[in-house]
Amino acid sequence: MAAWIDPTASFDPLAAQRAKVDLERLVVVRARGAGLALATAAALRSEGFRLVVVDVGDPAFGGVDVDDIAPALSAVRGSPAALLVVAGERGRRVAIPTFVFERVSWERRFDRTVGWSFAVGRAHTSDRALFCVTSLDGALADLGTRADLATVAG
Amino acid sequence: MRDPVTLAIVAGDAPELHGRLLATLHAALPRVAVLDPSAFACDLAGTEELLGAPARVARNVMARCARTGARVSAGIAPTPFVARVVAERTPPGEVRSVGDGRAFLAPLPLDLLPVDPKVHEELHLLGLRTVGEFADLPRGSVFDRFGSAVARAHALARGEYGDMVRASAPPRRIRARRAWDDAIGSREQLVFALRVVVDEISAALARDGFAALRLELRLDREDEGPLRIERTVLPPTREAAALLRSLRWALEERAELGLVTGCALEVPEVEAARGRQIGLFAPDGARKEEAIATARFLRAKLGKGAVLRAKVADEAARLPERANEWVEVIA
Repeated sequence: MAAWIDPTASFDPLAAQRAKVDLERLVVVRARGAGLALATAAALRSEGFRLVVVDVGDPAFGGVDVDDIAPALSAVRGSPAALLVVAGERGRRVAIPTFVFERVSWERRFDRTVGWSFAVGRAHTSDRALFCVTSLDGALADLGTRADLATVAG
Repeated sequence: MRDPVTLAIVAGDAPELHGRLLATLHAALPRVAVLDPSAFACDLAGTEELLGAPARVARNVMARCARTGARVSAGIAPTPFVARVVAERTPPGEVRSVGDGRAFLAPLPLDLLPVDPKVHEELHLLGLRTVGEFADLPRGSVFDRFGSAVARAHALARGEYGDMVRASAPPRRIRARRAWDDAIGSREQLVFALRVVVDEISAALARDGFAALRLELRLDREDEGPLRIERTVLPPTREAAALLRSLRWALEERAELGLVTGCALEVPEVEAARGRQIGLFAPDGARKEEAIATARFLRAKLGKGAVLRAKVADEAARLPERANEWVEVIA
C-alpha cells in the first residue's frame, strides 16, 4: 500500500492510472495545516505503507510550504516506508536528499503537447540525467547523464 | 562445510523421565531431536568452539541428565542412526565415540536396520546375516529390487545416510507483567500503560525469531476478580504496534474494565517469524489491515472527505470530475 498526502487536492487518478499506478493500493489523504504533518507521521509510523508521497504543490498556486512537514521527519528513521516529497521549492527548515527536476522543453506533435523533456540532478551538482516522457507510448526515455546537460537545462 | 557430529543419548530404563531429559538437553544443546521415548539425537556440528569437544559435551550432558535420576548412555558418530546404535550398545554412564560408522555396523546383526519384517525375511533367505553383508550389495541393485525404503536402510548400513536432526524449538515462556501503584480506570490510560509490557514481549519475540500467534492478557483489578482476555493474532507478528492494537480492540469490546492494578501478558503460542520482502511494487495484502487501521485513525482526526480512495469511472469523460470517483476509505 502507498499513501499519497495531497493537501492541494490535485491528485489526478486518471493520470496515475495511465502511469501504471494501482489505485486499489493507494490511499489519498487530503490534509492541510497541522494535519499535513500528522498524516505524514501517521503513514510513516504505520506498518501498512511502504511508500508515503507528500505532494505539497506549488505555493504560488495554493500549495503548502514544504517546511510544514518538518515535524514528521523524525518518523522517517525506523519507518518501513520510503518518504518522497514533491515540492515546487526547496525547504528552508527541512534537510532531506533533494533531486531537482528542470524542464528542458515540451514535446509537441501536430500542434499538441504530447510530453516533456526534463533534466534531473542532485541539488548543488552539475550532473544531470535527461529524460523524455511522452503520452504517445507511455514510455520514459532515458536520454543520458552528462555534465553538459546542465547547460542544456539551464 | 561443518563435519557432521551427532550425539545420541539413550535412557532405556527411564521412559517416565522423558520430559525432564528433553528439558535438560534443550537447556544444554542447540539442536535436540526426539528419536523415541527417552532416546534423543543432538546435532553437535559447529559447536566445538563454543561447547568443547564432542566427548566433553557428552560427559557434561550426562552429568546433567544424572541429576534427573536417569542413567543414560551416550554415543557419538557422524550420523544420528550410527550414534543411536552406538549409544544403545554402550553401558549406562559411559560415552563411546565412533569415527567410521560403516565399520562399526558391519558385524552387527541385520535386525537393527529399520525395514519391514518381510524384507528382513527376504534378506535372510538371500543368505545375508550381518549389516556389513547387506552394505556390500550394490546400491542400484538394492533400489531396483526393494525400492526406496530399503535403499535408505542400505545407506544407513553404509553409515552414509546423513539424515538431518530435525530439532523442535524448546517450549519457552514469553511473558511480561507489571503492577501499578495507582489503579487505572481509563481505557486510554490502560492502553498507554500496556505499551511498555507489549514492547517487552515484542523484544523477547524478536530475540528468538518468533511471531506471536496468540496472546493472553490477565488484568488484575482492585475490587473484582482478574479479567482474562485471549486474542489470536493474524497474521502472526512480533511488532509491538500490531500486538497493542489487537489488545486495544479487545479492551474496546468491553463496556466496563474496572480499576486495573496490574497485568500479565503471555504469548502461549508462537510461530517462526518469516522474513518479508518490502512490498513497494509487489502485492502486500498482509499489511492492508495496518493501512486501514491508519486510515481509520486519520479519518477520526481529519474528518470526512480527507481519507479517500480514487477510482477511474470513465476514462473518456470530457470533464475531469466525471472521469474520477472518490470514495471514503472508512465509511
